[in-house]
Amino acid sequence: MAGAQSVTPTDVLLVEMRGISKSFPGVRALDNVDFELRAGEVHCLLGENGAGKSTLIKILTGVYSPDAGEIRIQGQRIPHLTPHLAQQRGISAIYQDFDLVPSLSIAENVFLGREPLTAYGSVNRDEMRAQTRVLFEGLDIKVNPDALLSSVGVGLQQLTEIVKALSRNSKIVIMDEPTTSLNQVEVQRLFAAVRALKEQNIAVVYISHRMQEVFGIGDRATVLRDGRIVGTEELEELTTEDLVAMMVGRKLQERYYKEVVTPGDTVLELSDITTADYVVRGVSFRLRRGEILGVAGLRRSGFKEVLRVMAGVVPPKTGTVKINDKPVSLLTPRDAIEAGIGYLPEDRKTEGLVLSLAVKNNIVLPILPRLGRWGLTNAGREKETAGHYVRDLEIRTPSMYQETEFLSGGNQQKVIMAKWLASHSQVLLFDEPTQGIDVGAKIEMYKLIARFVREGGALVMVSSEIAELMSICDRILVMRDGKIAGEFEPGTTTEEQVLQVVASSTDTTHE
Amino acid sequence: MNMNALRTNSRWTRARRWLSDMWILWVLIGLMVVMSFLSPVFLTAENLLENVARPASIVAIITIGMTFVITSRGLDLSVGSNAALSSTIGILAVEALHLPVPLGIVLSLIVGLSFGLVNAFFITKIRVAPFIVTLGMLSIGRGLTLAVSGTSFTYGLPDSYRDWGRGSILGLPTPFVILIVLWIVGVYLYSYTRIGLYARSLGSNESSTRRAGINGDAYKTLYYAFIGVLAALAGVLWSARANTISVTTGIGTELDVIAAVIIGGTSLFGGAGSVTGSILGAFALVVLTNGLQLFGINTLVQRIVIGVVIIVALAVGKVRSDRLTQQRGAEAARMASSVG
Repeated sequence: MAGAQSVTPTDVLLVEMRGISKSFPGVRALDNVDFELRAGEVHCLLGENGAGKSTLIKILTGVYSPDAGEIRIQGQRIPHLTPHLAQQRGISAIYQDFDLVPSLSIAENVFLGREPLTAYGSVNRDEMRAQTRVLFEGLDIKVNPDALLSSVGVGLQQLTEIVKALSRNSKIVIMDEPTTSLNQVEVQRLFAAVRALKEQNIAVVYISHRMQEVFGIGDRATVLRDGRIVGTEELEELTTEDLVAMMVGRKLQERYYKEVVTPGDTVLELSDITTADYVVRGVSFRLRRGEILGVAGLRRSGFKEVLRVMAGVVPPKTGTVKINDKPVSLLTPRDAIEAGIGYLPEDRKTEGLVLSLAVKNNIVLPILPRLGRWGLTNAGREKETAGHYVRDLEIRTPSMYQETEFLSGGNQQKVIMAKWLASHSQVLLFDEPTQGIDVGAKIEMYKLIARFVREGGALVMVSSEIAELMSICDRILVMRDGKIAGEFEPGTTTEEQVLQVVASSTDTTHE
Repeated sequence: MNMNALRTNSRWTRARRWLSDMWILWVLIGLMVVMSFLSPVFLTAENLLENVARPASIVAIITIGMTFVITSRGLDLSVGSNAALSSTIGILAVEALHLPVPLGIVLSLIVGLSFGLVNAFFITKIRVAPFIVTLGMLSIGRGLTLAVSGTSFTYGLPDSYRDWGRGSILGLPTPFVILIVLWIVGVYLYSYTRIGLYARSLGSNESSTRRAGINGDAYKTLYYAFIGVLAALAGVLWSARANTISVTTGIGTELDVIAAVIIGGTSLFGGAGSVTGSILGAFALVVLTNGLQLFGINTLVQRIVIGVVIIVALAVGKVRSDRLTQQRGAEAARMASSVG
């Protein structure tokens, strides 16, 4: 796909960073880094977590000042770049948690702090609406500028950020993991918008963990590792394997890891599950021991909600759930935990962990009554249990008393997994297990998953990366409009076939 | 894509949405209809002007300021004490120092402004929670009022002062006329200028607002100063109407004001609100009190009924807004899924 765009980047250098170094106490975050941006290119910035990507971006946006090196923007050397100066020089950054105000309209968000005024000093709403519409049309998108930001989807919110950058006459737009919370339709719209930016000769810095996207949208890629540049290459001349190898510094045979396990008895059975809001409608399936079942779908297709039903978060309206052939009622998360079901939600930081609590406390949280007696906790046994899992899962933390908010994404995920292993879950429900986790840690996660099913567990995982499901799962269910629209075995299907069922839009007029 | 998503809301859609958001208007009309059936006296000009419009206007003036404060995710519990302190100082200056009445009133407004600035200082510079700062100022204001007025009890103010509370302009109570003027100013500031826009923005996402280059502290200071002046003005009108200095002026007013603002549709969690709604909320509460008085219901029971009404109104409002959010969310979802 690379190079398929009609627009080719020019040789005009918008940004030149030379010999940039930056140290923090105890860490050399960037070491003699060179980075350049051409007008009209999409420049992907890659590297594992901690490789120095965000430090580099923060230097480019003026948040950090480098210890050494020089920065030129549009040919002019800028000795002391501040956030304000960076913005003035046309640099905008779009972060994962958008810099937007939910209760304002789209137009009000675009012009916040720079509202056009009328002669009487009131806010010129007509002007704001008109300009917002024009800017969106430049990206081939029609919007209602009066729509409240909180009432529109994440995809449109992101496009609003892009339009905000455009309205500031930005020449350089930095996007940090822009597709994390987008569905595939929204990703396509974002890509179309990025291509429109290229046409306007804007340089885009694109940070992503997803190789498919990098090759889909990027012109060049710069890979960082341990604060150093591994290389800057034309993407046309690279393969995914090359890139991954550059990132992790060792040639990985595979990006995924899977073991062959012979499935055992049925451990979980859903029959005709429907939720009160009809997001899930009449879903039935079985799950056997040793099996990894994948569920795919677009947002609001019900694929994540099925997981939440099994986790006891959303009680089903009708239908039955059986564990080991015995019916169970899952009205609360407690019921699910007692039935041996562990849920690893997509939003680790708010739903999966108590961030302000230590690793130890998070691991033993659901089993405190079992470890203690007479309503008292038992510090010794807690420590013993938590310590066991910290060693067993190789959770990298200074100690088990470290608050989980300071752990990396991969290690946070391991803590959640440890929690369910400690409470002897037989079924794990995994929502986007490797989202926002770097390549090296992903492999570790896959190995833990493989070990869990090898030892007799069963696992349901939901992922918006079809490639991940294809590589890890034994079976894939595709959901659409709350129902199961197809079932696939990765060995006998291609990714395209699955995608077709996932993305085929349903015609609601025939409902 | 759904056609509705493409069109800017027409004037008609906006008007309809405004009417449905302005449910407090229907509550007020409903209350008035019920009261006029239950009591023959209610729907007389005398009762409506003197027992409803006059007292309601005084509270409603403060709700205008409170709408800005609560929208920006602040709170001001000190308005009642501020009203008492500023009006007392102004009147004492008129009585003891023989200051002309207009200057006395200006002095009151200046005291009110300073009161608001003190609140703003602790909230924006020292970063103490508004609840705590203004609770403290509630107590301080009341104490200072007692201290400056001593045990002296002044009854009988100069006529030109009294007219501010008791007089009429074109047959309408003076406080009501003042309210109408302030209402227009308030709606203009809230809906058509940066002052209102940034209140919504600060209340919804303060850090993004600041990162957009907006001086959040300056705007917050403006809101607390504004409500300070309005509280002082209400205090002046109160004393003028009562024809006396009273250290008990405005005790408990903060709760009436906050209740009126919230049932008027302003979110207690900031980000959205309505000046008109707040004023209507204040009137609804006074109509209710007035009706209960007309039936000769005992004051204690009145307080209980009003408390129940506030809770029920808020519960209904919450259910409504949840449903609206859900509906509008579902609309957005439909639009999003029909894009491809």
